[in-house]
Amino acid sequence: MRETYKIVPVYSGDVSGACSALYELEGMVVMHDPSGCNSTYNTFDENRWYEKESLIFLSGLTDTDAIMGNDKKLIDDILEAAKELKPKFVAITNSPIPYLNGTDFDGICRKIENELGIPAFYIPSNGMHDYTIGAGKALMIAAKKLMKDKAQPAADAQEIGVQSTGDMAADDQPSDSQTTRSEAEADIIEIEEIKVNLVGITPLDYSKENAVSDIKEWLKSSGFTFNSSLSLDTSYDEFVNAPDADVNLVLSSVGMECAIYMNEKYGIPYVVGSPIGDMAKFIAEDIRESHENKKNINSYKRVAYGSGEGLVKLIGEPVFMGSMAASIHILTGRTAQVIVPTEYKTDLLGSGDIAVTGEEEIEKALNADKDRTLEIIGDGMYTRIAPEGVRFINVPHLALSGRMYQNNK
Amino acid sequence: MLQRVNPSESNNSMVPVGKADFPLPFKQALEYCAPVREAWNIVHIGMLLPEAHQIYVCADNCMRGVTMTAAEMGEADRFHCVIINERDMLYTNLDEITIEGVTDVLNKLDELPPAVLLFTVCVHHFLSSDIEHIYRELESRFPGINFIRCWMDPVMQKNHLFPDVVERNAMLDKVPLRDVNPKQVNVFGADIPLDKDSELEKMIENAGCIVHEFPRFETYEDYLKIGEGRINITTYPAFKYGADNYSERTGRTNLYMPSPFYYEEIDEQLKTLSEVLGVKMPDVDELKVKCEDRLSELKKELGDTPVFLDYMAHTRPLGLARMLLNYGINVKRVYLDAVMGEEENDFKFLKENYPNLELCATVRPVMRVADRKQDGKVLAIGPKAAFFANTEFFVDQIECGGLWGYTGIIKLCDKISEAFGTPKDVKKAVSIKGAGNRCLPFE
Repeated sequence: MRETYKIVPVYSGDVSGACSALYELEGMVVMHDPSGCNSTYNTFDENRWYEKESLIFLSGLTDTDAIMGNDKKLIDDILEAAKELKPKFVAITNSPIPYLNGTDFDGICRKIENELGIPAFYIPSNGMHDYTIGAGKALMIAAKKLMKDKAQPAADAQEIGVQSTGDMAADDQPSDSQTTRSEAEADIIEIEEIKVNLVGITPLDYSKENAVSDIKEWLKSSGFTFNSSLSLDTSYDEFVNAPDADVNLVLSSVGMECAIYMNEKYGIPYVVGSPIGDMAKFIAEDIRESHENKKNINSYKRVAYGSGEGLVKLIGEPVFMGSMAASIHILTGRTAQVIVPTEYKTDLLGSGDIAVTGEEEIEKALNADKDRTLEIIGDGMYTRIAPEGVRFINVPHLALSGRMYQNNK
Repeated sequence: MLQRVNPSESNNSMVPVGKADFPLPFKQALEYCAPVREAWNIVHIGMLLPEAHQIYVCADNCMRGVTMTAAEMGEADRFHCVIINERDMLYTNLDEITIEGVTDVLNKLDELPPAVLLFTVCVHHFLSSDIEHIYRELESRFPGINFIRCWMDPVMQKNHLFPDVVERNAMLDKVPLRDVNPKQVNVFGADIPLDKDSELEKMIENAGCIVHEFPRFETYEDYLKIGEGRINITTYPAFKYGADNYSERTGRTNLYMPSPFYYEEIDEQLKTLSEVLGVKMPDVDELKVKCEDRLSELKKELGDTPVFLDYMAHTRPLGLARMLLNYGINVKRVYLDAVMGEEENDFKFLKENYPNLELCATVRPVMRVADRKQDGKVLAIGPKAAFFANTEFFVDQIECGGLWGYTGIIKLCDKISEAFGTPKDVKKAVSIKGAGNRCLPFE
């Protein structure tokens, strides 16, 4: 059964994802959930909880309030806390019981917004999806509610032919020239200020302490100007000013919905990929191309990592692992295949990559072509169902293994 | 930047006990969760049942915490789950998903476990699942497995029972009754073993009996042996509901002996035990003198150092505050969110005699942005007090630390002395989930 898990943990849930994405934006996030349900998020899914304060609370939903539809308590409690703590906005997430009850969160948010005079919005969630869905929606909706207007309106963007996913699909197909693009080609750097946002970066996918500063450093060394991080090592002001960017760099599937929205609303094109290893130079090149041609590009899919010698399997979030697959292919010429167990994957799988759901399918995918598999790269929790005798390289993923492989000592 | 706001009467997060309401001193509203992990959860408790496996049937987000708890304990092979989604809840039969999911998990195991703690959840309540049907079907499919009926239903906990109370009850509910072993006394205590030097353990020993308690179990047979216990002693409030039900079912004597600080209460409990076991009372006068000497000595050591304590360190935080204050120790604040019914007398005593003692919430939203800086050295008793007081001088103890009675008081004084002189890493200590358990990320 797809629904059963014998030994592998599940990924962080949608509510955790939403909280993680909004953590540093100086708002107040309320999980409409019973007491005790918040410790899951802040123990296993949030490595900033001890050191960095954020107004993330739980409503403490009870059976009687749920049954009687006592939304007034939720509203009053939020108003009380917000008046005391003065957040920049209020966001509410959902959980299975209010989802079953059909709670009118949009109405609740309107009421709160009217009372407080600050933005209030609902992140559609129900505890039944993984973090890529919750974080992705949170970023996109926060962008809609919080980001400032840009000088160039959306209508202009449409006129110059900027489109969302449909265009990208055509622009990320490997071509002969793209699959053989050389380092020399990638080294061409023009002197022009291109402001770049980092979109879809949260500790759930980028848990290393210096993740953002390393990427900023790379941007600088590649001749770009950093604009905003959405949304790690960031601030409310930085988030609000994100429309000032020229290109969005989508670092994980979490950033896709936001990037598509910003593309449609502000005409900002996006490049999908993580600057891992040898992919960094190609991504820099694609950012330039994207800026010049107002074109959305998936960088790692341009590298035809699905064909080559030997087989390296990678398992995890598609953008990060796809970029790593491409990097390995560029370096070694090996075939790389990404197994994607996370939920948001629209247009993110390369040729030969496979989407899986549940432990059974994951185990099957990891164990297929075992004799040809040289190594598997992924979170160490998967060693429990990986084939014996195949080298496993542990790349810890907070959204799966939580604190297990983080540096807690 | 977030604004710093300190707990106060005006924001309903701190109140002098003289003005506090019983049993809820604070408004119940939005909740903050401090990064203090030491409390045991339902996974930790279930793992006290040797060889048993746990299966949870719930949504992704709810599953995450329990699955990671098991992983951090190094017990992932005894933990399994069935994920439910919108389709299962809205268009199919949740009962069937539960039955088929559990069946699928069990069929995948190399060997069937002797017992399964099956956790159904909030949505099973709300969709009116036929729990009897689920268990009847599973028991017919797996007749060799003892299915223990647990719930992970936090939506019920404020108006009904906490999931851990239900779990403890369920664990005892499936104990088969056996012939009495006159040398066995069941202790339904905290998740941490009872201190072997306690008067309680000594009296049981003197009666020629052994203490039989969950934290000491090594095999599933140990669990089954509960059914042989001559008498049952409950020392931990969260076990009382289950122990009362179990004793009623078995007709065996049940004594409720929580770990108090009030001498008369200790004496009363010891007297009852001596009558039931047919053994002499310990020399309580001598023990009292030792306690008083140790507490007086402790006062000299601490001087006027402010002491903050919490509800995690001991199930009787107000009793502890009362005792320390009576010996002149400068207890400034008690962190708690509610007062237990059995502390009502201590609450009233403190209200009358020490009205300025501060009660401070731990879950009220302002606690997230409260200033944790202290002027000068502060001593904390309990992990939440250590975190909020931001002091490295703290007693790292939960659930009474297995301590009981007069010996418990003396040993707690020793722990306080040691904590006062030896700084500890607060963040590391409070980050360990289920203190006393294996926690792999911190090994």
